[in-house]
Formats: sequence, C-alpha cells, structure tokens
Amino acid sequence: MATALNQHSINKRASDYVVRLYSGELTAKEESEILAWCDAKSAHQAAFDDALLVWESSAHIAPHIGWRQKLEKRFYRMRYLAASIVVASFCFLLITQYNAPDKRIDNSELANNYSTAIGEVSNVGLPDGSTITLNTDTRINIQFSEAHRELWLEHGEAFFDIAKDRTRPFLIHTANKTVRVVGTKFNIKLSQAGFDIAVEEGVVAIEEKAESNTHKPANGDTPVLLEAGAVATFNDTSALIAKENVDSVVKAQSWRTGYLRFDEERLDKVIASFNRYRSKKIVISQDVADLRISGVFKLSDGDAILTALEATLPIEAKRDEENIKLVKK
Amino acid sequence: MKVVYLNTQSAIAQSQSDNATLYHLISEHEPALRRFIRVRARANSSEVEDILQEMYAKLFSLDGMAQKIEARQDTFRSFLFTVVTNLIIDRERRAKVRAHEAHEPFSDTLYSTWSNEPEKHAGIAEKLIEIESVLENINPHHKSAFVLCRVEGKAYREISDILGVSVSTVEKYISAALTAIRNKVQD
Repeated sequence: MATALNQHSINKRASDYVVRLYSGELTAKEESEILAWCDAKSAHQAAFDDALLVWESSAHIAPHIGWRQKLEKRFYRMRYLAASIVVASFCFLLITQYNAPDKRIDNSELANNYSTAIGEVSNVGLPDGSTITLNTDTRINIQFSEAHRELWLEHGEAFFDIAKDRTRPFLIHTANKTVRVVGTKFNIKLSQAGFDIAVEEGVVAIEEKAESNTHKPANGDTPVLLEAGAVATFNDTSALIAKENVDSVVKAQSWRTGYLRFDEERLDKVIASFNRYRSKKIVISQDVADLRISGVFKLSDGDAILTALEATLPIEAKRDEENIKLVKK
Repeated sequence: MKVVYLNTQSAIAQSQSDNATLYHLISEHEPALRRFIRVRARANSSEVEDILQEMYAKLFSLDGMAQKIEARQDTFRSFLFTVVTNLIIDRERRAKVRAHEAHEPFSDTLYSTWSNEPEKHAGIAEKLIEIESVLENINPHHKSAFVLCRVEGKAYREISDILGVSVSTVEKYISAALTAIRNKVQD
C-alpha cells in the first residue's frame, strides 16, 4: 500500500516535469531540479521515461479516434461558421458558373487575335485566369484547346502573367523559338533577329520551335531554362543569358503601368523607346545623343516629354511637317 | 544553340541569404533547445551539439523553410521541439538496435509507432484505444486540455485562452491526464 502510494506520487511528479519540459520555457533552476531528481533514484528516471513515452506517443492518437467531434462544441462554433461561409461561396461559384455556360466553353476552346496600335497599351484577360499585357504596336494570336494553351507573338512586345495549370502547359511561339511555361510572369520583346526575354517570377523553358501539330519540343537541343531574375537575348543560333535581380526586371517593365522609367540613360536610347509609342517620330542629332537623363515619363502625355527635355537638357525641339528634331541649343 | 551565361552566381546567393534567414530564426531558440535536449535525452554537451547539427541539416534540406517559418513564428518553437524529439527517438532506436537490448513490452509497442512494421500496427492501435478509453473516464477539463495539447498541437497559452483558465492550471490539467494514462496503461 505504502509502495503504491509512493509510486503514484513519483508518477505524478514525472508528469509535472514532462509538461514543464515541453512548455519550451524551462528555467535553469527547473533543469537542475529535474536532472537531480532523475539521478536520485533509478525509479525516478524510469517514471520520467515512461511519462515521456506516453506524451510522445499520444501525438499519434489522432487517426484512431474522432476527437474533433467529441470535444466540447463551443470551441468549434467558429470553425463551423467559417466552414459554412466556404460552402456558401462554393455554391455561389457553382451557380454563377452554371449561369454562364459560354465561359466554360471558352475556357477549353478559344481562338482569337488581339492587337494594339502605336502608342496603345492594352490588357487581355484570358478565361484561364492569365493576363497578357500588349505593349505598343503588338499583335498576338491565341488558341486554347483541351490539352494546350498556345499563343503566337507575331509582332511587338508583351508581358505574360500566366495562371498555373499543370495539366495544360502554355506555349508561346515566336518566329524560331517556343517558350514553354506552366505558371509564371515574364516579358518578351521581339527584335529583328529574335527576341529579348525577362523573367519576373517562376521558371520558363525556351525550346526550338515546336511542331504545331505534335506539341512536342523539336529534337536536338535541350531546352534553356530561365529562372526569376533572368534576362536573356535569343536569336536564331545563340542565346545570351544574364542574371539580374528581380527588382530590376520589374522596373524594366514599367511600360505596363503607362510610364517609362529611365536611370542615367543615353538620350538616343530614351528617344528610341518613346518613338515606339509615337506615330510622329522624334529625330535626334548626333551631337546630343550621348547626353544622359533620369526620370519617369507618362506615355500618354504626347509632347510633354519634349517640354521636359528642353527644360532639363541644353537642347531645343524643332518641329516641321514630318517630324520633330532635337538639336543642341 | 550556343548559350552564353553571364554572372550566374546570383541564384546561389539567393539560397544563401535564405539559409542565413533560417539560421537566424533558429539560433534565437538555441538556448531553449539545448536545455530541452539535455533533459529529454540526458545528453552530454557533445551529444547536444550533434543533435543540433542534425536538426540544422534536416531543416536546411527542406525547401522554402525560411518563408514558411517567417509566416508562422508563433508556433515555431514547438515545431522545433517536435523535430528534435523525433531526432532523439531515432537515435535511441538506433542505440537499442546496436545494443541488442531486451525491450520492455510497453515501450516496444509505442516506439514502433514511428517505424513501419505492419505486424506491430495492431498492437499500437490497441494501446492507443486504451489511451482513448482512459481519457473518456477522466475529468473532462483534464481531457480537453490534454487533447488540445497533444492531438490538436496547441500551445499552453492557446489552450488557456480556449478553456478560460490560467496557463499554470492548463499545465496541471495536462499533467493530471498524463498521470492517469500512465497509471492505467502501464503493465
């Protein structure tokens, strides 16, 4: 009897110590107290080990019993409320989907052309949740099927924010390469020889142009993989890849917000950028081409850029019927 | 196609900075972890270092750990305790195998919970059902505190908010449930 009582108090103290140990806030004093107690008698250490065993194995009782239902309901009322909101929104989604059957057809079958005029920037929202932003003077053709999402970038520059769909890769075809992605954000700008690509998020694979009817990458070269922050130039036969940081990749796409941003950029480069958005082009004389300029300019402001340049640089804008010429003042 | 890569080191730099963040987040808890390992495993200082190294290696091998932890800093310490506990149990099991020790039957079945030995599953399930039946018959406050802690994985502080009692009372409840199970299931 006396031994049983004694054992009971040993077990109780072992439990107290285990609970303290797993509080994560054991003090130095408690640590030496527990260690001294365990060292005092082998029965103490044994009781402590048994208590640890029950404690650590009890984490595994979840699959065997439905504790959630058995626990007092008041603790879970909030959960039921949250769950009903989720169920209600789901029903709402189902109903709206059901009322818009055309959209669901669009999602798997879609074929369309989109284009922008000079000076125009436009967003195209696709039924899979992807968004394509077309820069000035750009043309794309989109075809969706059950198995693939395909896009032909025929002219210009576009930023792609592709929605994730592992079962339906998104293929972007240029004249000589195919860009294959699952869900990423990146920019492609066509050039005379090929294209420039900058990856803001995720991974993209660049392959030799896929045969449209097989959807398989062409044989031979393995695809070139680019990760977020990569900036690359591709032409027919070669690729030049640089790692930038993601911030500078994002900044380089400032055109999407309707602004162009320059940081100590050469004037001839700045003017070339603006000319892409203008029907009446700006011509620049060679003696001012290497002046530098920083700033953020609104694309839709028309000739405001000229006023800004005249105010900050030693230049003058001369206008005639055909174009605008920037010369030294 | 000819491919030229410029300054491609930046990808590695990114993962190094992630590791630095992770290291920083963990090292904050190191004093508490050392104390925990000393008491839990009766480990000497070189064993404590070994276990900590194993823990770092384990956490660094998981993808996106730094981001996940930054999002859930409140429960991070108890997560670290769980990782370390599992490492210690693995070590104990390896030590037992090496020593060819005779197992006490109770420990044997419960330790096997972490291994995948199908022939032993029936025994574990029985033992866990026994724990369940003990919990059914004890003070419901003790049971709630114990289940919230061990099954739901909540911290004592959270349980104190849920049950509306102080943290030290929560500890008393959990300890009482633990003792009750220990007394009934042992033999």
